[in-house]
Amino acid sequence: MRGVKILERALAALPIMLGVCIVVFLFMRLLPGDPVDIMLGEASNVTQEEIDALRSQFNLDDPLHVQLASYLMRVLKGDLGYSISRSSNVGKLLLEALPATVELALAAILIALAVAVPLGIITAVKHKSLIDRSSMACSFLGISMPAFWLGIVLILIFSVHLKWLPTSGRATYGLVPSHVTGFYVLDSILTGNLPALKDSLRHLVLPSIALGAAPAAVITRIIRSSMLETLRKDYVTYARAKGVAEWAVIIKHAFRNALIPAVTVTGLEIGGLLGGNMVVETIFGWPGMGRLVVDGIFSRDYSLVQGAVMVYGLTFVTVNLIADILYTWLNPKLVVGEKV
Amino acid sequence: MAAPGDKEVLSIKGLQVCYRTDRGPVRAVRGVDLSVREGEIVGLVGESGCGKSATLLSVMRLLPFPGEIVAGSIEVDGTDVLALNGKGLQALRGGTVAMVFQDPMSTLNPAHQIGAQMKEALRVHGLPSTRSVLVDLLKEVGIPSPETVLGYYPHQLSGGMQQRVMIAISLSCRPKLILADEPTTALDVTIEAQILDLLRQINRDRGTAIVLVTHNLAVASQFCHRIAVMYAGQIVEEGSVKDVLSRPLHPYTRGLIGCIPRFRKGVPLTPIRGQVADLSENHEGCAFYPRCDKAVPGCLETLESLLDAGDRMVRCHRYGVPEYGDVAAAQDSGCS
Repeated sequence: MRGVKILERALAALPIMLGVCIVVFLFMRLLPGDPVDIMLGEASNVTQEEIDALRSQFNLDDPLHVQLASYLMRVLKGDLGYSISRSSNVGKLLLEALPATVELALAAILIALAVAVPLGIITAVKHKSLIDRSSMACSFLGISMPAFWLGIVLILIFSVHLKWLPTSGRATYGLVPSHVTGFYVLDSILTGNLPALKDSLRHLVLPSIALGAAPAAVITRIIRSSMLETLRKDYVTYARAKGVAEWAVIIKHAFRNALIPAVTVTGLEIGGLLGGNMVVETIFGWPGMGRLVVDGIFSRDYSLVQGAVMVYGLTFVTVNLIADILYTWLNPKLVVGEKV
Repeated sequence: MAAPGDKEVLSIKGLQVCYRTDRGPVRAVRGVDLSVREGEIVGLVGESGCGKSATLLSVMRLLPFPGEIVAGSIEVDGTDVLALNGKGLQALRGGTVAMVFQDPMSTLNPAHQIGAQMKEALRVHGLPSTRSVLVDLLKEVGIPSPETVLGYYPHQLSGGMQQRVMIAISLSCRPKLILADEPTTALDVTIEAQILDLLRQINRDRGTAIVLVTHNLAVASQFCHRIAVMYAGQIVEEGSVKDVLSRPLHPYTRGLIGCIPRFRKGVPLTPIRGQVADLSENHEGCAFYPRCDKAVPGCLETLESLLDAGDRMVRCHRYGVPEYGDVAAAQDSGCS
């Protein structure tokens, strides 16, 4: 029963992906100028014939619907096209960049959850206390601070002034772990390369804080408000009346139920991280998908941007699917319905 | 019903509960004395907001914020409840005293299976929680196919079944006292009778004392040995069920009985006039005075304690005045 539902949801992702594909394709064409303009923008000694020849080489002179149809056909065959600006296969570029992006996103989520879960619980339990009020003020700050600003401030403080952490990149030259999965932290653990592990962690700290701050703030608020609600429920009083210790009442009874709404929001926040990572990756020179997209947009590299956005779309859909599965798992009412 | 023993299981003296709200203190319980003996069933009746539930929650030290016990003493089986904290309090809750709540649908945790919720109660009190123990408990409260029910989530059970599960959990640690806070209010009438039967059977078989909070006088009359009528945070009349309901002395008790609908045609209901006393105000004298038909100027003086009326205790200045014994009217009500 559950398997069927999951399959249903997964299949529903297909039209969404098609929509994403078409919308990005059209939006990229709405931007003024095309790749050829950008490539030849600086050069003055190019003739119109040469420009036209280049256009037709990349099939840019076909009508829009023909371009779209041929693009979709190629995507269906698993070919994401050729990146003009990087002179490489888009699929290959994305595969190379994906581990960097995922590593950063996971670190950001981990930081966000590590802050949000305990803080959300404590602020709800100590409702209206000093810690509650100050945490809420901080979380307000966290939501309001744009990632690009926070990133720059973090670099200024911790890299420039204190010189504790590196300003950019994933690893110091020469300390890149040998390739196993593409995740530097994981790779350096797998290969037992301690200096590389330390180095990649040091590189990860600032960007993941910059990326995780806003979701941390949002998730703290969600957990707090849903904890405030569950703490008032009869079953929490009842758990106390059974003689259950207070910490167990809070975790097993209140938090377990507060998780249900929190999971959905966390899923959406993780999706939102994808948008944030374009900014953060650009600031920290992180060689991930976000930077690929930004560079791709500036050089009107249609295939690259389209391919990257499709991966974003797929990730977003998958994360929300996982959140939905978790949701049904946490909320037995959605799965088992029969009455005695 | 089991004959009550002599040993006191619950002794509440001068209990005062105050909710410190933003709009000033609300004195929900204003000096309650209540004693419950082994094997006794005591009914606590009164309108909503008269302090019945606050009194019960005080015994478990479960008053919700911003409520607090400001005066008085509570002893359960010889233990001073107000001096307890931490482990002692946990041992009391669910151990010596168990509580059955009003609405089983919202009281059982929706995210945990029945078996897990039962197990938890046993485990926190260091009792064995094997499957057979759980099955026996469910059998005792009359749940069909208990093996299956252990794996169910609360929403898969009907309200009556959920309440049985709750009673099974309360029984699990063999408490000396069960506090039942309107245990049948959320259930329909046929189920109500079954649940009350079950509680009565537990009282008879195990000798467990029960305090039943209800606003249903019919339920109280069938179920309790003794009854205490509360109004505005005070007990206004207390005695054996038979005496109090067939020959009520306090005007409020009589008013309550007058509010019970009757089957006989053409007998109008006689509601108590006025509004329930506002507990955020200080009441000089009798709290029921503004609504009382029999009030005299003396009612404005505060009565320090209930007056001994021979077969019961009453908090009324006019107790003993001849025209008071209007027995016939009360007997008409069919409550005897």
